[in-house]
Amino acid sequence: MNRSNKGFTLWFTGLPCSGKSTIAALLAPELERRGHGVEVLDGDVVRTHLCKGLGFSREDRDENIRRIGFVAKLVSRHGAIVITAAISPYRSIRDEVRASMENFVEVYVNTPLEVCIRRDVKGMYKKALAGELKHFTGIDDPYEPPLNPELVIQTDKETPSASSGRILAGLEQMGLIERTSDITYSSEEESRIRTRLIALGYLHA
Amino acid sequence: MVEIFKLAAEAIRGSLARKKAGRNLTVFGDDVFLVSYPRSGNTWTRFLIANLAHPNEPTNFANIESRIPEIYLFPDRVLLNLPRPRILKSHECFDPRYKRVIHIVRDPRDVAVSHYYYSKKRRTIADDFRIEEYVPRFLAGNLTRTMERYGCWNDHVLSWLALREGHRNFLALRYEDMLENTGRELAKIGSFLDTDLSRETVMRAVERSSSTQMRRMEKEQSREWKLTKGTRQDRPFIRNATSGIWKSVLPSASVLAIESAWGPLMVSLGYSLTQPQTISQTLFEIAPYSSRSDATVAGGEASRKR
Repeated sequence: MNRSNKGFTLWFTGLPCSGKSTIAALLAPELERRGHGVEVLDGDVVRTHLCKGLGFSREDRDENIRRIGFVAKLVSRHGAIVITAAISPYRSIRDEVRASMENFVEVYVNTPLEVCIRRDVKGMYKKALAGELKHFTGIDDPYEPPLNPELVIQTDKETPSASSGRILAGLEQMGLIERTSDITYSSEEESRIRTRLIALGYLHA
Repeated sequence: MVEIFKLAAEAIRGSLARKKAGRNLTVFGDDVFLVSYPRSGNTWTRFLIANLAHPNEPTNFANIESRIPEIYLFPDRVLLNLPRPRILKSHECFDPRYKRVIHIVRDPRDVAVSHYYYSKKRRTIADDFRIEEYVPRFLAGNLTRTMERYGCWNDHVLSWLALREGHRNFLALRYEDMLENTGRELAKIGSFLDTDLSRETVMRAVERSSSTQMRRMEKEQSREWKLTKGTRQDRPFIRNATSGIWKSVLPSASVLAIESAWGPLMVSLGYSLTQPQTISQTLFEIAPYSSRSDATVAGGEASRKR
């Protein structure tokens, strides 16, 4: 079994619709495939259960993050990987969670606000911009980007799977997961394979 | 020289093959795990389930490990050969790989007492070790290296309930409810496992797993059972099998220490505290317990025996 016993918390932070949950959902099965136990704590999901009854005031948001952090610490201490995908807008509480545990990996999903507004998956930005929704991060509630995150991804410049690949590479570099055998092609080999795939009809020229 | 390396490599391979599965168990999606903190009724529940699933031959200490094995007693390769779906006993803190889980929780004050006597049986502590000294170690969860790995009672229970309570593939049970109405709780397990649920089968399984029956079997098979064969035979594995024994055994300072450390979770689970504390907010709401009408268990009631 190719499973390291090192648990850690992969803490995503970023604006609403920045792509946190999408990338978490791509990463989890890949890490499981590599033999790790993985639990995703999605901000929207935990609010219906673990953090039931909490609102969006500064105090409630902090309590929300504190609870997620507490559970992440419990679980990662026992060898599992916890991926949290919550906006977690405030720097001080993120740093408090970081200080509470070993192996905390902060991933800043740095997607520009205008891109997030364009995505607006659930129509929340629209409501917030119309003034129908108060305390919405990025609109009338601040988002404080991390100062020294372990990893930064830019979802407006690369595909989710490329972001996911870069995070895996980062985790390998940090020694938190085992390296997979590196398969690298020279550009010449790549272009030869490409020509062959076009000839076979798998790719369009 | 090469021979020496070959021998060493073989020795390492041999020891790896004998290494017990534990946390490194290979997990399948259809596995069912019977999970609890140690000394919370896990062995009894194993007998109940095994007797439910094998109505033709009563379960005993000689065949329990082949029916519902404990993951700490066998290497992974042995457990891999079991027919699927497997039912396995585990004391692990939350493991996301466990997809179907039956979780048993017991009043930590009773768990502390049971642990104390079990530690004597296992020679972890001497006979004259006082329970007052034992409780702080129990609270810290650092009695042995194994216990350190499981975490303390609060962290262990909370890790499971915080992440799985209310999920379709998670059955949350209380030891005290199982004592009060074993048939009813076993029927819940049967339905979770899609096992034959005739009243007769359930009641036969209950009878075959009664504390009287289990004590009798322990007397006969304790020297052979993997879990007890190296331990002191003058101290039983199956002890009181009751709830509320802490009231007569634990000094009030120890009770208070447990309640002040773990009060919020205890209250969420329906275990009343001796000293009403000002708990402004329980850490997590554990709905299946706190919303029940029969939630008061240990606080004001007489002990129940099975």
